Amino acid sequence: MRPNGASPKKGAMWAIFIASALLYAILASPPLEFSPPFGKTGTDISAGEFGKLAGPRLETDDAGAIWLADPRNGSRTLIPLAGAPFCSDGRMFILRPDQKGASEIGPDGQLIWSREFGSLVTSFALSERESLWGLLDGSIVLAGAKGEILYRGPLPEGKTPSKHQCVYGVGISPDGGTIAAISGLEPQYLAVCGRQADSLVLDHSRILGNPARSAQAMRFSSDGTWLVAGTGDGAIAYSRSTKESAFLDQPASGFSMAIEGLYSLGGDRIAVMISPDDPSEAGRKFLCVYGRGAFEGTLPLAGTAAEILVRGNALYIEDDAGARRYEVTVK
Amino acid sequence: MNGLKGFRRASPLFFLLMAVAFPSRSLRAENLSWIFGIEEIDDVFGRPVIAMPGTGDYGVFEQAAGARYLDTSISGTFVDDQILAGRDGELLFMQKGGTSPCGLPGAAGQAVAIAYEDGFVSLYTGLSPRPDLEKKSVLAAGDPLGSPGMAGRRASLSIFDRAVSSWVNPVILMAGSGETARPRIDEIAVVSGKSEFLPEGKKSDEIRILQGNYSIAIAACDSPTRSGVLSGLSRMKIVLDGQVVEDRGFDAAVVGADGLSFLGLPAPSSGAIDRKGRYILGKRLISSGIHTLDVIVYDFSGNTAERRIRLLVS
Repeated sequence: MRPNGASPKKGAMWAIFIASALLYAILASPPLEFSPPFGKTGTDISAGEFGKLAGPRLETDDAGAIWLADPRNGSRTLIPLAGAPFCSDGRMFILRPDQKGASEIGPDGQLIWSREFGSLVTSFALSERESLWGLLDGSIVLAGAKGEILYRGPLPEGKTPSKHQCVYGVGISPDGGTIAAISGLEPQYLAVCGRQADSLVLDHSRILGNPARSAQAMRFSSDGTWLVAGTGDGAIAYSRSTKESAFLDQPASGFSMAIEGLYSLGGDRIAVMISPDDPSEAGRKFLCVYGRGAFEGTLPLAGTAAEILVRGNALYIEDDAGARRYEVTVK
Repeated sequence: MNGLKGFRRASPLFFLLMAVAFPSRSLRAENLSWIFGIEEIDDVFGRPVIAMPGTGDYGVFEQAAGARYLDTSISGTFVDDQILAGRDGELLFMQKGGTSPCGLPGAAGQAVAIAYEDGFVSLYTGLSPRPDLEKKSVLAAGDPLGSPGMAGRRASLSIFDRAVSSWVNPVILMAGSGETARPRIDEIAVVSGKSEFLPEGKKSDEIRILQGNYSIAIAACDSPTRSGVLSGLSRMKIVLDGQVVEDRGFDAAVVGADGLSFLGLPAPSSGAIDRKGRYILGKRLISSGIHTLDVIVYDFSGNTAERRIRLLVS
């Protein structure tokens, strides 16, 4: 990690970034390798194979009906709920049409729980058992495996209370012991809290100079040791052991505002999918891999890449042209 | 106006009480003027905003499959191409549509929330935000927010009051529509557990039941005029043997741990309605004898509908 510094600005530096990323990846000998080697397109796999890896998923048909489709056996089951379905870490949810409630659906299509949050859901994150929801009214809701409320309320604030309340991003460690959120305006905080019984204890907070006003990505690594948060200031890494945060090391400045997704690889690695804001770079995406905040490698992706699965040391990435597998090895 | 603000902090019911006690256009316009500014009345509501029944009106049963809840927004047709900020505020939240970086789909579509100094937040959904809105964090009255994006220039508005953690019915804050159509009572039933008792025969006003504890289920809605304008249900009242036993308003829905509390009933909002979309009001003992049950519903333009049922209890 590099120490706190000026916020990286997005903008016209994209060409430099891409060139720098390529040079960095080739010359700096990062400790990760993608096989097939960097610059190749991966090993094609069939969409069916990708689907089987992904497991059952919720789909919406043209009429808006939601179906549970399982590519492993070709089955398709109608889910009698309305809303917007989404899947994360193998779990399936349906967000209510007004975005003020959600339901979790089991792998067999049964309703596990359904809950009305009352305020607009702006962000969410999952631990191994719980789900965490950020709301427009500035509160977070931690729901247990059966939807029971484990915590509901605002995060402990920093020294200066925010003038306006809203949650822009949430993260929760896999063990559920640490919760993080980007919340508030004037000022906006990145706050990290530990769970103690029914309450939250502030472990770390940081004022963000360039407040985000839309949903941001936050993700803990698989081993829960650190967190990456997309913020208006740039991508910030937080170490759970030292309780300190710093901007992510970057192959070049300029990418941090365009985080499209965060993925936990094995251990302490996180992959950050970024896409250029610059229209001249439209159609390109990159996957940057970090271990404990240190940059380790970059994988260029198609601009339509959207689905990423992690299975062991393999990355499965699907885009409009098909699905590909990349082996990730440590040098 | 400062006095009004103080009352509003004390109770969201203030709006309803004032609207019922002084149903004048000027009072409502004044209320809205300090909350959202007269410009917003004119630009959003002043020219005929047509709310269609059953498609996103405050307190109306959402009829999508399995999604049983009451709506906190009103939807309408915007006459102008642009939705303008009614007064100075700050961009609180913006949802661009599609899937957000945290993986959440935009179920409500594109959305813009504006926060005001006094703790109110207006949430517009179904609009296309202007492209540079996110960069323009501070908004002045009259600044364009975006264009109504849904088919037929429809968009929805919800108003959140942080002071009382409630979604306020925007209709309370609107200038009166002046519509004269009466609301409609489609059905009254007496409900106990899974058993329900309706008037025997279409034209009968008698329900025969055994003595016991019952809730009253009411299917009611506001009727649009020929031009499609409606103001929405404002209040439901039940009078049993001349005594008012229920008087509940659609003024605000309080956000609590279990969700939305409409009509002063426990959250979530699905608890206020049954599977048929009927409002389920107050459980009470109905003793043996002959009782008169009057149900009166009001809309925000002061129109009423009333229906009397005789309960023959043995």
